[in-house]
Amino acid sequence: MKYAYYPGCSAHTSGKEYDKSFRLVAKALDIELVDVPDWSCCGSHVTYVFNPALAASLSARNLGLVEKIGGEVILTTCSGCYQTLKRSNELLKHDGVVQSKVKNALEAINLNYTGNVRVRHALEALTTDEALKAISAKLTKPLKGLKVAPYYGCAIVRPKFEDSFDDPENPQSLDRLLKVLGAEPIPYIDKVRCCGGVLIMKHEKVGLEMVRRLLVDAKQAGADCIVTPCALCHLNLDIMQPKVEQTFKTTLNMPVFFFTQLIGLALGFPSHQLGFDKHMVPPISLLQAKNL
Amino acid sequence: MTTLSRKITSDMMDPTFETTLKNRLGEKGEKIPLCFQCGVCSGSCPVVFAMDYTPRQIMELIKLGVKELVLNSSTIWLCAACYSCSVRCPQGVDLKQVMETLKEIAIEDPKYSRDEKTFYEKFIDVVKKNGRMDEVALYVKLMPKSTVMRNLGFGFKLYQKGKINLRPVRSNAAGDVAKMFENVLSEEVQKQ
Repeated sequence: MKYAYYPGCSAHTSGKEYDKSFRLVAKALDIELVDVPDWSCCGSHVTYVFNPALAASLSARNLGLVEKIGGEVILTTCSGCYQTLKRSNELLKHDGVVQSKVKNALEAINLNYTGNVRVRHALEALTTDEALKAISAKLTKPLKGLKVAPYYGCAIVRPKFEDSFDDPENPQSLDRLLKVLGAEPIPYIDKVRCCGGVLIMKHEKVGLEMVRRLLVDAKQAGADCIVTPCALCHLNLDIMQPKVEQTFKTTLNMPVFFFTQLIGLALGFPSHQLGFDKHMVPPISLLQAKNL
Repeated sequence: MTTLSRKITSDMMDPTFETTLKNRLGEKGEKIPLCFQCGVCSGSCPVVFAMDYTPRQIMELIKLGVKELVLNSSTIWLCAACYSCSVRCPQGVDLKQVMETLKEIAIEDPKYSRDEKTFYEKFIDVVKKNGRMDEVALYVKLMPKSTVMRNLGFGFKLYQKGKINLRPVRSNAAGDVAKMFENVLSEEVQKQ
């Protein structure tokens, strides 16, 4: 399998270990990733508030680059990019005004986009029946005894697009993956409850309260750790966790993994290759206690 | 909030408000169909605890044409754009799109200037300059110097963990991105 890979901006900042572990796992599963050449910001939902035609143009530049290298699918690890690229694709299909503005903007940089690149998320690609079979066949260290809260976040499941791969209210792909990895997915009431996203920047207290609830609910449900397919969720749940503990005077100590790190662990990669040292809440003692 | 904290007076009303909003949503292929005030949106909203008006109240205020309360509410800025309300509304209102369009209107009108606007402006600045987003570059642009200084220790820890970069990440294609900004935005100025 070969994909045009779009890492998204967080792959070079707060989500480096997500990018690193995904590349490692993809290689181990014989998935070839070709980076979208000179990719740029997808626009994100923030640009959509400012100017929808600009946001769609920013997306279309990356989608056009995929067409230029002969790709039909753009694969991304970032849930925000996934949602934005899909939204732009849909807008370009239905909105003639935006369409012509985007066409002009792309002409200014000698690019064209016909609208035919399909947007897929890394979680989607790694949880097809075929991919799960391949993972299962290469499993060397089942994550036995690890109780994991599967946290999907919002952008990967909402809004519901025509070709969305999972349910907006009760998604199952991560749960299925965890079972294949030998871990125990716990029933988690907040699996699609928003972490607040970028809200934490301008409204820190509100954002911290939203994150606190997700962490406490996971703990109360008996989870050892949380797993997520979203870089922004990971930023809020892991990087901001010490701030949550400080603000609400509580101890949580809840490691948060990217799903690609857990696949890597189960495939037998050593922790230093998976970037666990980058986490604010170190998962090493948990993994040792579980003999992983 | 369960009750409206301010009395609605006639000078707050703008009878054209609902139509303006409907037209803008219509341009995006959305509509404000008939909200019957069931409150599923407010019950589904993960940020409702911090809002001055609940999403359901905002929908009713739109219908009444109380533009001032809607555009001055904290609600439109606290909406985290998670689409929980949108996927659950029994009448098919895409409330997330409504909130986004209200933000757009508020950003365009200096009368509804709020500090939250700067987040959107600075975010765009960073992308325009670097072709990519960088959380630290945005944070530094956004926060008062005193806040940045107070968080230096935290920042240093993140730097040690390799979570942040000292220099903003730049796309090789930053020039192309800037050209697209110019193209889209200048066309709109000409139109005005």
